[in-house]
Amino acid sequence: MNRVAILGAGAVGTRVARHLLADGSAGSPAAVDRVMLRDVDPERLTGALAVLDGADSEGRVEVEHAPFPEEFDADVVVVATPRGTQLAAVKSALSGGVPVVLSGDGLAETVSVVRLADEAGERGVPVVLGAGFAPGLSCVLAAHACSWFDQVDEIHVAKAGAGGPACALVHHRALSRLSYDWRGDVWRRRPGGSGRELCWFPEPVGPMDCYRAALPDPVLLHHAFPEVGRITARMAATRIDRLTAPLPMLSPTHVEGGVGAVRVEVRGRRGTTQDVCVLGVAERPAVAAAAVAATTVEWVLADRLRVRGMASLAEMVEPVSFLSDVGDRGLVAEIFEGEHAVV
Amino acid sequence: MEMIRRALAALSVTAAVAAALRAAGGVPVERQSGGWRPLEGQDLT
Repeated sequence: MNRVAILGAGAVGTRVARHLLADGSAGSPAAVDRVMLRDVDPERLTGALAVLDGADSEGRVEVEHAPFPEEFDADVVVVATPRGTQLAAVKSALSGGVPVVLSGDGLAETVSVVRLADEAGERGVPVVLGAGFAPGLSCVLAAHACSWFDQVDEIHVAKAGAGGPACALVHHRALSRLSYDWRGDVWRRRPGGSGRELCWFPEPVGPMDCYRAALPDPVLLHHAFPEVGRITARMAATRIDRLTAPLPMLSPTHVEGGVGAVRVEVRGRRGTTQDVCVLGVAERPAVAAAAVAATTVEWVLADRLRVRGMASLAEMVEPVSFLSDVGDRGLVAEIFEGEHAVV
Repeated sequence: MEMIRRALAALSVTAAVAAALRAAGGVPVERQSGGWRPLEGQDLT
């Protein structure tokens, strides 16, 4: 009887619930019997219930709205809440010894959660950081690409697009905050919105100008690959995005963004030659994040994670099997091949 | 005064030309070589 608590009934949380209710086969150790959906907004919960209303989910979904009980009666907690609420949720789950799958993509909040790593390690509770599109799938792609090299010198992550409104807000602010790049053996702080680079994402996204931003990918990747000398992350943005980044969001966000993409470029040595490998995925970010989070939950329930403590997906999962599992949910990883493999 | 008027006129013309070029758009960037293909087979080992 596996129970999963999903905090946040937004674009990601609702889809995670749908995946878990649809895919669990009764005999599998990762089968999910019940899903508990928790949100502060009753309207969002009603909308999520309408989406989940079907034969697969009949009687298997519970909803909770504020005030919430202190403890989680669940085997795994998925944190898909807006920024500012994730740290408290992770603390609460950790205190109850419940594994956590966190799909946040804010730098400051990720760093705050990382400070709980010792506690997670002492308790032996798996806490998966960045189980989304980027960070998340981007970390798994990086881990897979790194496995092809004898020595990895550089990892560069780029992403385009945003999921729901909470994700769009994080993206909006990220462009006006300091970015952290790992270079040599120090963190370099650079202004968000600087460092334009044309990145070619998988179709249909194609080429987009990408800029530095306050993204958590370098922090998570540096933890997974401490020997790599240069790790950067950029996000796609328009001139208007950069111009309005320091201001509050001037217009209401869409319920959900369009097709986005992640692109991971790994540079290093294979044998005696320097080489480059570029991997990517194109998908709507909330759809991709939900597929990654749901797959991670199944890996937690099946006890397939490599680390019983806090780590990113790059350290937690075996990349090939994980890419195969998310591939079954429609996320197709792609590789760029060119004359010089340089985009 | 005359100089300020000329400077403003020059700036206006520059802005108008830039706006016209921006609106008309440039030559789209075509990929020079290579392309994306799904990871499969040997790629997933």
